[in-house]
Amino acid sequence: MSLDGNVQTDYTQKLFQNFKSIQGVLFGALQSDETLSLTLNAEDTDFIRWNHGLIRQNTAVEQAQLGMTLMKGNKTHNSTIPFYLDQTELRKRALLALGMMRDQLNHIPEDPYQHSISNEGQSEEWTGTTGNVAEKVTDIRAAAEKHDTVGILCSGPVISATANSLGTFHWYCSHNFYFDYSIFNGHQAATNLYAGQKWNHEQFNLGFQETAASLKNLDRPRIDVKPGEYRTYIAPAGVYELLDMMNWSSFSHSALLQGPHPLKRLSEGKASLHPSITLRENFNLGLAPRFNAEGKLSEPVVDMIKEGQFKSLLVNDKTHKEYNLPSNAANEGENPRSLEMLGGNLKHADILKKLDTGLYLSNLHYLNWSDPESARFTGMTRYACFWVEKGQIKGPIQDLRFDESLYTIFGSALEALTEETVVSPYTLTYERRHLQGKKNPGLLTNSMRFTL
Amino acid sequence: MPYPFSNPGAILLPMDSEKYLSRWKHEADFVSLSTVREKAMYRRLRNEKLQNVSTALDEGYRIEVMVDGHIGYGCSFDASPEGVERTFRKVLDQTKKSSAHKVFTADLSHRPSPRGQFRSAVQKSLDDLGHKEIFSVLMECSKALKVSDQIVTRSCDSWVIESDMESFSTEGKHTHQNFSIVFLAMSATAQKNGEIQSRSLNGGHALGYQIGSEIFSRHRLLPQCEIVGEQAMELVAAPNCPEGMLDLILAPDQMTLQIHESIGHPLELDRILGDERNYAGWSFVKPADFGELQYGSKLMNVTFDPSRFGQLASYSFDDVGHKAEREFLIKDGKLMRGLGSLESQARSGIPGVANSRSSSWNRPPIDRMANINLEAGPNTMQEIIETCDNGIVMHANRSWSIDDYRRKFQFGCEYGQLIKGGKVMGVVKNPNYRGITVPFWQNLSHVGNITESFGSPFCGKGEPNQAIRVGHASPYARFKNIEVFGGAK
Repeated sequence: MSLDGNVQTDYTQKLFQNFKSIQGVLFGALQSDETLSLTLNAEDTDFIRWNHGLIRQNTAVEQAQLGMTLMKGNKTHNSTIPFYLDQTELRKRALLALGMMRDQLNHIPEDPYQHSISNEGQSEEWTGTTGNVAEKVTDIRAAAEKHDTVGILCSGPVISATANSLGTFHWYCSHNFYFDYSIFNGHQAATNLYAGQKWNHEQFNLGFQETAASLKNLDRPRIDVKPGEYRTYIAPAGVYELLDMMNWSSFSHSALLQGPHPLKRLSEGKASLHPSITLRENFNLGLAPRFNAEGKLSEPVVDMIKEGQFKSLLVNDKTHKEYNLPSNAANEGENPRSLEMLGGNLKHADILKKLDTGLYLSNLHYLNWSDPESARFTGMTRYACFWVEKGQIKGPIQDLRFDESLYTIFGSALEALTEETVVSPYTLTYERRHLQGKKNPGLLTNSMRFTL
Repeated sequence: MPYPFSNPGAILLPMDSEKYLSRWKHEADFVSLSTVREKAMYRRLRNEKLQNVSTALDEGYRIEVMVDGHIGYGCSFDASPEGVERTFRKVLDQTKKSSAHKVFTADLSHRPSPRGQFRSAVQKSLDDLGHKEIFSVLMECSKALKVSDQIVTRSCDSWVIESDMESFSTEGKHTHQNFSIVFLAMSATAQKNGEIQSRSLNGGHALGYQIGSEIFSRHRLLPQCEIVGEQAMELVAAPNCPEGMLDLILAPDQMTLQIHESIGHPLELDRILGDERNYAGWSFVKPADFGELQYGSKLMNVTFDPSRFGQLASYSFDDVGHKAEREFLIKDGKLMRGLGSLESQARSGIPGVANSRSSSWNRPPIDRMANINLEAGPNTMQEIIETCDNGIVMHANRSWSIDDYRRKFQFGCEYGQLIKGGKVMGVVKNPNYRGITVPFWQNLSHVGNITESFGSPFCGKGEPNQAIRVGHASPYARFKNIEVFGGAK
């Protein structure tokens, strides 16, 4: 996409210009046997935190970090410094850091998995439009004041860019927002996420009112469900949590080769998942840039599990070098950046009818592998979760702990996936905002084990 | 070669904070300006080969303004005069607008004005050891882990951090705190007859302290790594942890997690006040429980102790200038005090501590744990084991999950030892246990008389999210009649 004044701000323009100019400075300072790769991660974000429908904290954050990887011979050194806005200061600090890295190369071990860089092409993408945070706050305040609303509005541009001394240059700037919120009714809550690139007053209000209206099911008397095995429907937000747990290392090929791994049996053909399970990296979703930190472009779609069968895992250049596996331009952690789980044929209107009698779980919480070798995981139900009898919601349940195997819930016990799939940007903001996301359906399973 | 970037002031931007504050003092009820400068060096070997060596330098500032009783934050790395002024104007404008919809009316009593310093007590400067020496120690640790060819993966890493935090306010606050921190992580994965098991030195990055280069002691680390390797080999040959109701003895490196999840988080006043309900969660603890709830047995004494030597989250002042002092959170099993800042104390009417902390310059301070410790009890290790008829000892966390009210938990450990008739009878793999917080702590029957300290660099909460360093000290502790179970095979 060409430069569009409606997308850029003074801040993002300055970062773009500085990232261009620092390349000339740093690449020009390299010795003939050195190569250098650069990354830029930056944002200009308004965080407005809410509680009880009021503003708890407003925090404006502008930050930018320059990553540098220097290679010389068989030595590699990584460094990160602030990406100073002042060009003179930036030049001075970046050259100083380069000099220090060069010096450090003399004192560190050889890098056995060093992979040489190459020219990975050039791209430049700006998406979204600059918006007025005050407009969003006004809308949220008007809707939230009638309810016990808690959550966070996050708004502003996020930048990911990479370049190297052999000519690679990729730039991705997304100006986006999300309002991640819960509406409480006593100790029960309904939750929602409104995200996009252009705030739409009507769309926000509609989603908020639907979420608030769903609270009425929580007014019914609570039903105490005993530990046991139940037919269970997990809504897309809950399946997102399952996939997020898998993000830790389940799609990493190096993790598979180095220790306990939940997909080991699947990869060895000793187990399979339900034929309707297809998991893939799909950069066509527009949630994340296709380039990794080294500027290498992933294929637009990378199949990992297709129709229940193992296809591939994510491989970065380091793993490629160590194990002679084909790289698919994964990031350093070999985690998906744009994970898609394909939907099925369960229509939204049929969910309760097909569930018949069992548990309807809108959200899951704090999932973790309890026995990774057998792909067993534990976690909790959260927010609006219900007991359903003969297709009718009977009432909210207490929080329940489950302990179940992925091979059961995505395998032998899986009955259906929803036709509807939900796109969710990544909302975790540890250290900084991240350009990632997922798209996934809900699922119906004929058995899920609840233990506490 | 000395540790690089040894003098933060020599490379990072200086800031004349007092000049800015004197200019702004009449534009808001209160303004503070805090800088954070942090350098971190991460080194990792796997199977005696380099995996990563990286240096991270980070610096920035946070401007806190109070307008009509509402507090807002502006954070930036742009320390140019125009950048600082732009950041102030933005936060001032945003806070003025937000003050019309504020949750709570703060006042100057929530922003003290101390002047003081803190510096981690270290025996040897982190500058004393360079790359060569640290990699040499990590290499020897990796070799020590390899007690057998069946140890297929060895991983050794060190994370050395120096952090400098300085804060000024329009009311005269000036605090300056400097932290020297090291985390070490050593692990071995054994593979035998299709079984794979991992064991590590105290679990993940639990081995973290405010310390100097003395932590890289071969004399101390190498024997410990050898034990880790041997225990990984024991695990691949061990039976599964049995299922049933047993007496559970938790080692201090698992007590770290138990204290963190089932005491620390539920006592955070911002959770109790509902701030965290959309992300980290609420709490089963009600305001009326303070001074009333018998949280655990009489043996349970839990402190907030920012003064403990070498512990990960020791400091003199929290981020808003509240002087940090040791306080009992739970005394003789009764809940006495919450983990809440001056602001949260005023909002809730509950006594708290000095724990308004941010993960760095780019996040606002919120209620956090610091050092949360189970105080030593009366029992020797011998008594704890010998009086146990049917039990299990669990060491080092590997899996953790708890509900958003911090009631129902399930935790897994790396290494279990069965106890029968007061004797250690053998090793079991995949040890897990589950329980409910208050009944679990009320079943505390024995507390050891020697504490050990561990911590975590990754305590997560807050919107926007923040991961902060916390420390937990504990002795061995025994709990009656707990549900334990093993893995699938």
